[in-house]
Amino acid sequence: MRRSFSYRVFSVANHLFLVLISLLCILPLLHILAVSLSSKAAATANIVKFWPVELTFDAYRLTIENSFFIGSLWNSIERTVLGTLISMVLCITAAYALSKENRVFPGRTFYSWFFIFTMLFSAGLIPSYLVVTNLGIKNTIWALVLPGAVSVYNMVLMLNFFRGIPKDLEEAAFMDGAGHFVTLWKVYLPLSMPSVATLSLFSMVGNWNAWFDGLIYLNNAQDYPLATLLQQLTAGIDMSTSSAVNADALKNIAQRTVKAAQIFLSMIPILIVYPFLQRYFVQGMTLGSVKE
Amino acid sequence: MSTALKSKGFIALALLPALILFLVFVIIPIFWSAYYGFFEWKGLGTAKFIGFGNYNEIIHDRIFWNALLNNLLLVASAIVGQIPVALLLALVLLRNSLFSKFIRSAVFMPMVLSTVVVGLIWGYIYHPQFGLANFILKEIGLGSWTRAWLSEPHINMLAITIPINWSNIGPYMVIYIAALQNIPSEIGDAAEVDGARGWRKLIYVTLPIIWSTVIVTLVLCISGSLKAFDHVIVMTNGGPAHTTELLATYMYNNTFHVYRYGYGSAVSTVIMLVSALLIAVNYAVTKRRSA
Repeated sequence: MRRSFSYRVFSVANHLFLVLISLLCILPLLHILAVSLSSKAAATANIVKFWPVELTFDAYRLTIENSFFIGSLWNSIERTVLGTLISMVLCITAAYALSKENRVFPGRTFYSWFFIFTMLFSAGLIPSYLVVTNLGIKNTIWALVLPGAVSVYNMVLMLNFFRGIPKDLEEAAFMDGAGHFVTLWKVYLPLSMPSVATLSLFSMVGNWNAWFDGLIYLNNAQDYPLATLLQQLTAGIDMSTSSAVNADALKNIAQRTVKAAQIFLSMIPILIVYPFLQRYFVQGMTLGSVKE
Repeated sequence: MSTALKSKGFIALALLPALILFLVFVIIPIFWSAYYGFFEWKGLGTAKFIGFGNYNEIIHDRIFWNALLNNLLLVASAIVGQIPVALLLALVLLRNSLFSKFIRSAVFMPMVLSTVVVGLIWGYIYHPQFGLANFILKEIGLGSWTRAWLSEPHINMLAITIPINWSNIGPYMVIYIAALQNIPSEIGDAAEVDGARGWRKLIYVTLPIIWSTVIVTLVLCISGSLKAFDHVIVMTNGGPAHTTELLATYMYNNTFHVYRYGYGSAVSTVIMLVSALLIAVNYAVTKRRSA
């Protein structure tokens, strides 16, 4: 290939442009990290850019010592584990059923459309809220994990993966006298571990990041998951009315540097799994498209 | 065929939990929402049937129209700001070199962050006194450009589109890369032999092949922009004076702050209708173009 002068200029400009774009994506996170590691005075005097000013770990110390933060961290972990488990069991069983042909499972097409319909249309918030209230699961962890447990997107990916498994394997299992349950458990699942891992990861991240359900379904600030707590601290909503909350502790964690520390801490689990997330997201996309 | 019978039982059983949860938490609420839209109701006590009263009020509600306008602004900004940028990046970053992998990772990053984190980060950046945005403007001698980004009317909605686009370009880029990598290389080679290069190749060969993917992302863009909610709640909560109100935040504020459940339900039904309408329009337009 000929590499003319203008080609090289273009190439350099191109690379510069791309570096600029990626900086735009990363610098905001760096800024938050810098604020969280700066002194309180520096952060409110507007001199923190991308590097800490008057480096201190005070914000992190205050955060970690705060029982409020630790409590919500625990709530988040609990919700993520339970939510992921439930959602994976539902996803796998439903996808298995829907992966069968019409011959085996007559209503398949109808049920598939039933699920896909809601990928575009979600109901209003109000009726969902009323459903949760009427079921009596408000203020419990079930209000967080049940309503969003069925992810149609995950189900479609899983379904397509199941479809890709050769029919012969299933038939061999049936020949040996296995029913559907055993076939799913002993044949399909072991073969789909990569997909299961991928979707679990998506589900975990979704659960970890969700905050709005906590806000409307939970009345007590002590029950909030981390993401909800972060939102509430910034919204400046007075939480001292809720019992067992130390007003001083609240004031501490609402500081600018401390809030930044909390934002950053809440991102850490996501950043750790990030490399996998990105790769699997791509695989998930191709997984879904190939078999359509 | 006793095995077959047994197996049908299991299939039904396997589908049942997901089906019930879905029915209870997703499908029934859709109809409930439509139903409550015809009532005047405070969430407690008896609901009073008022026919199309709520809808009539919506038509004359200036805040509603403003919210709808803001949503349409989001749709426009998503279509202009997310799709082309994502496509451009995908085309440039198609190769699996280390450099392009790094850039891809960076661009995809904001997508995995919680919307509350994204909102808070940009809240920090936009802060009128301590914010990075104003600070940088002052540093480079554009002090007169500094703004109270999230509170000045006309500017605040535009300021809000930036974080939303920021966090949504990544996934679209990845979708396009996947679609582009699925194109057999023979097609590209054949096009070049026929003299199609650069822009011509992009417009006459590449784009038509991935057109169905583009349509899917357009639909996602539209429905996503109409449901937009989180970022605004975190950054401005629809204020000041409803200038950044979106349909969803307006519905939320009506329901959970002023306790007008009936009116909020009517608004959410309207959101669904608008969304269906826009998606239909999108299909009509893109279908014709691909024909």
